[in-house]
Amino acid sequence: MIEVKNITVKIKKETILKDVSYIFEAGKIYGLRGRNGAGKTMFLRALAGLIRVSSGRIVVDGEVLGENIDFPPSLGLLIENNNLAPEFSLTKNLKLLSQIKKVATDDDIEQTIARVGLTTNDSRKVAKFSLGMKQRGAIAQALFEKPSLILLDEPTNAIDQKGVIQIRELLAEEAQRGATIILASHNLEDLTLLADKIIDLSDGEIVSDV
Amino acid sequence: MVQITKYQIVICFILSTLFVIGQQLTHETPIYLMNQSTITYVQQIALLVSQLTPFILIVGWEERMQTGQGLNYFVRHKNRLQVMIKSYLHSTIIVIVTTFAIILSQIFLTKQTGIDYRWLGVICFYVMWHLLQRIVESYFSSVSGLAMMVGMIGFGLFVKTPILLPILFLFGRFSELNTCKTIIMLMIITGLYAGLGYIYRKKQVI
Repeated sequence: MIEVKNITVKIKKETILKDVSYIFEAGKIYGLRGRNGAGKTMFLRALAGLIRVSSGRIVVDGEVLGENIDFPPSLGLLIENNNLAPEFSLTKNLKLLSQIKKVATDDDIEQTIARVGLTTNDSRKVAKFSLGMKQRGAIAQALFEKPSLILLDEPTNAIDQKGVIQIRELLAEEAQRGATIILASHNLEDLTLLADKIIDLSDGEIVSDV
Repeated sequence: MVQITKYQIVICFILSTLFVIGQQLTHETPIYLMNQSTITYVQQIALLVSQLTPFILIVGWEERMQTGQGLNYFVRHKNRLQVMIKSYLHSTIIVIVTTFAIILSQIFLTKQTGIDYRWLGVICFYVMWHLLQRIVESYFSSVSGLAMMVGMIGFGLFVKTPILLPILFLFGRFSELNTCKTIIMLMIITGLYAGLGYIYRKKQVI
């Protein structure tokens, strides 16, 4: 469970998030909605521990982010770019990342790559991938360690319709496994079909929660 | 996560060898210590290429380090300190080990052939210039970093820039020192690199 308690994020005197509070429960999918600049990505970054909040607290499974822990201990993340090393294949990318925490096996990597609709036999560098393939690879990167918290910013961007359905099914499976999924999206269909709750952000504030 | 490929190491050794042999073929005094009026076009081109190549290599390392420090990399660590120490150590070790490898190859070549190995000074100079450029970029803007890069290339073309010439002389003279003093100088270089690297990484991570 993730408790967001009255967090405010200020960057260079500009207030990006204003007194935001929310409780995210395990096994549910939350959709973040809002126009550009509403604070969706910044909210995800704060939850990932990538920016420190100016005030308030984020508590992940009883640990305060920025105090007891710097990053959520079990996190899958896709924010802004795919962040994959372009000069390596996707398999090698995931194998390199897996060496940090050592919680995922080669089988986990292979299975996740297959689940996002790609193949482990593809020895091409990520740089040679199409935009949609890079996005699928980035989703595989976020999921292959079976994290308990998954933060995704526009996960279905650049993915074809068949792929979108595949990714939606995948995320639903992850939620069934018990993961908390928070996804920011402009795609209303994604949010409507996937999310248990849709959180509307406007000017850094939660204005509704349906 | 930081990856340095075998190709980069091989390229580094080959270039190091080429620099030394090329230098010996064209003149007895290192080009960067020569009077500019006596430098031929061929030597100017040699100078430019030799100064650009280490720079390109360093940029290659740096970009690779950047790639290895994406968000995916950050959040898989326990804390920021672990990321910083790890990435900082990686980058420092890569550059220092490679620089030492260059030194050793140059010393070996010098002993075998009597060829001057003073290119070390230039390489070290570029490592630090590049880090400075990255720090400027981080704190100010990419334009200022670009200006520094262009300045460095321009500097390669016109070695006799009055303000910077003493620096080159300083680096050029390193290899004339005895073993003990050379080690001290290398420690200073390492310290400077480590200090600048630390500032840069700190900025990047936080």
